[in-house]
Amino acid sequence: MGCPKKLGGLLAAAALLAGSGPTVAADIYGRVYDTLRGQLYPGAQVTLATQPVQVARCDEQAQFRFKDVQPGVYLVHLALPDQSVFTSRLLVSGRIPTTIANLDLARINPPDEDDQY
Amino acid sequence: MTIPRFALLPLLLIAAVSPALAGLDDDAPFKSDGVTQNTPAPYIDGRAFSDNPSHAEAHTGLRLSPPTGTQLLSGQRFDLRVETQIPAQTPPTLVKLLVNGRDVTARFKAKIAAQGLGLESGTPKSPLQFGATARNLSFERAGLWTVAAVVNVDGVERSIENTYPVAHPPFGGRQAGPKHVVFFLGDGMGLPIRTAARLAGKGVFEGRGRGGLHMDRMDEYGLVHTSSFDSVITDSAPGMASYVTGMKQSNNALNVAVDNTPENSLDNPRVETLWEFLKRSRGWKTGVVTDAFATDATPAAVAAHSRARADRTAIAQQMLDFYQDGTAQPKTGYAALAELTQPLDVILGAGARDWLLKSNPDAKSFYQYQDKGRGDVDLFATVAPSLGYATARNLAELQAAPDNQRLLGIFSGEFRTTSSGLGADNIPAVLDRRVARGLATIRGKGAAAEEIGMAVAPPFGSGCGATVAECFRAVPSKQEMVEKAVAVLNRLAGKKGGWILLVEQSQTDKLAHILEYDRVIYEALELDESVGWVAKHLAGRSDALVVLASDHAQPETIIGVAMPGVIASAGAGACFSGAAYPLTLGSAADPDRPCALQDAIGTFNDGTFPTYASSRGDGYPDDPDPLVKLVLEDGGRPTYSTNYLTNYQPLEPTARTSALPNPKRAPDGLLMTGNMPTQSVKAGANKTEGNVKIAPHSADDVPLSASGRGAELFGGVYENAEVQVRIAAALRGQTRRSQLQLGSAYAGVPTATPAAKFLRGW
Repeated sequence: MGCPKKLGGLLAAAALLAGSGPTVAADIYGRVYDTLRGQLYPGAQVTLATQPVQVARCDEQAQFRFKDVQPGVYLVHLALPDQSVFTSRLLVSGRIPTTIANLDLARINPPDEDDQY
Repeated sequence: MTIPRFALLPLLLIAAVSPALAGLDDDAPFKSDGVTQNTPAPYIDGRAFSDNPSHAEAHTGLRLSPPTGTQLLSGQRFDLRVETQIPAQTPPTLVKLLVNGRDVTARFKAKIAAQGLGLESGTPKSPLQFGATARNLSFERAGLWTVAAVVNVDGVERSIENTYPVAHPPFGGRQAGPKHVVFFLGDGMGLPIRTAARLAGKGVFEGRGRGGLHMDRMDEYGLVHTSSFDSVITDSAPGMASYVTGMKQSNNALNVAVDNTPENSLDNPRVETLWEFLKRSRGWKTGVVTDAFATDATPAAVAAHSRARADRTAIAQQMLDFYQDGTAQPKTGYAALAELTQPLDVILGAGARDWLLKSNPDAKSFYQYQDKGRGDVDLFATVAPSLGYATARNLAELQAAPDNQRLLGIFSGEFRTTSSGLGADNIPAVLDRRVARGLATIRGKGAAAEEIGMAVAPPFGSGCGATVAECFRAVPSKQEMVEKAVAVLNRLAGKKGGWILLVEQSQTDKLAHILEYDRVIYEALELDESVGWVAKHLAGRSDALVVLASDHAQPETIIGVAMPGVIASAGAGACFSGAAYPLTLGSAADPDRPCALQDAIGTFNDGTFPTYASSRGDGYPDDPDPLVKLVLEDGGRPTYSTNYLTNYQPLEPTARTSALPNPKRAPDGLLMTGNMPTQSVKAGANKTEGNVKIAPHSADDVPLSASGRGAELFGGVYENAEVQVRIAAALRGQTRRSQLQLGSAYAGVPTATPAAKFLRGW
């Protein structure tokens, strides 16, 4: 295979990826809870590692929202009222208006006891 | 290597038009102190991060339960739930609910009204979210069913539609199917462990195995995909629950779907298990046998319903079908749950803390819990006997229990205070029980040796025996439990009745989590011994079906062999020096020399055959450290050290919270750097806190074997949620795989669209 052909293929692939990529900013809605403990975390602080970072605090139903987030992959820092901190990731899709991002500590925290694995 | 410029151009183009990935990278310092580093949690994208985003309406998160594609059996009960996830401005309302095109909205609403709002119907606390669950419905005809919901949210009608392939029920076929079913579950037992057990138990000479395990001789083989509803890596709860319901479930979930009331784990939409279905519809007797705590995920998966597998005290009650207000499993609010669950006839396992009151003297003196037990009601001493159960605490009581009575056996766990990682909730490892019975040694040391820690009094009283060895000797083996379970089930079912039994080998997983691979091999061999007993007594009969599966694999594999004698005499102690980081490679005199332990392993062409010996001819090696032994390692692990020798007692690989090896375990060994994510702790994770101390599960497919009537149905490659339909087909008398292909894309499901009137349970 010659170089020009390979270059053409790569350019076509790049164009395809660019054309199909998400382009619309999205909202994020989620709740912070732990399904293993049946516990909600009102007052938890959720930090979305955009530049600059966006911070939301959970309401009494442990709900949080972010507005007009560009599609992409973000780290999410979660700080509970008791100062515990957690980190996970979030993919914001531009193909749907609202990305649902429930932060379940039962998922974020790796299992460490035998009634969890 | 130089990258040509033209090759970079497309990447630059992509970067220019793609959204900025604005997040911090993996090596970013934590904000708490700006110095310490952390490995972020596993990748979780927008879909997996949300509880159930894969099939939900885009603007409101409107979704239906069971999840679309759930493979039910005709007659199998399930809860039908409609809910929104994103709060509206005004309370949403159900506009329409269609089942195979017929409007059942009024019936649905009437059912909710009859059940009452709240727990019975899974009503969200916020009126701005819609959520209603109609309990215990069933599709009474096989075929493809569609359910569509329309909900008005802030003046806009939002809709969602699910499809359910429904197979024929597990009875009513033209030919009689098996009426005795044993489902073996080797927890975490992937192919490497089956291989290691065969090599250790049977041996190999000039490349040919000296024989096969019982599980190797089963009639048919399949390969099973194990991913859960919300993770490529399943845990044991959905890993088993998917087998017996046809429904993919979320990690930590037992026979329920997710919902928008995460604050309550017991009100989620449920699905009936095959064990419950067979008991309710045909009066089959049912049982579970495990070496884990009896409420652990695998045994609970055939009998319990909870979003949280950790609801152990409630799960114990569900296994007995015992509901009472003021206890962990209340009666009020759970009428539909009580209607769904069925009491198990045989429950054998460990974990007394879930069954005995803390004030019951046996909790401490017999089971050796320092301070654990129930606070509400004594299921073992009071409730179970009142429900007709005989109880047993040890082998003698097990064997003395009547065969014509339900049986609850709760046995001692690994309570040695010098051991760690297994604990008093779980039956001691096979190797340790065999050492206690004088059937094995560890590098020549038996139960009397100080290192073994069995020649001493139990820590909290002598209820189970004067010494640890005596207590361990009194714990029944898996085969002893299986023999009793089968005797009871046979007697209770009678000649015409049927029964189904789950037999779990739990420690193939639990001991692998703590990297006790030599012990894991013995666990697989104990499971195989039970498979052999069942094969001898049942599988040859025309009325029995035996299935052997695993819920998931672990990333362990056989990497070579080692010579324990050489390690013990020369290798150990030569790896690293220094009591803390940074450790110095080699000795102080020769810091550049690679660790001698690395040279102690034979790999590639140098993989000498292992020399395990079984002088009793029972398939168990006399000693896990023969002249040449297998070496297993893990693809995912915490930081630990190893000298490839069997620990005299099970030990956690890592210090409790720090990222350093457990100093009590092979402190002179080869340092294996961990690659697990850190747990989060207060003030931020760092090198000395927040360490995950166990190895993980893996996403590998797992082998499934089957023998007996209908075994052929289990050949092929399929999802774990497609196993139930195969068992049902076998119970209907089908024996050929071609009989599963009935026209639709789903095994065992015809293309018919049944009339909506066959949705029953309103």
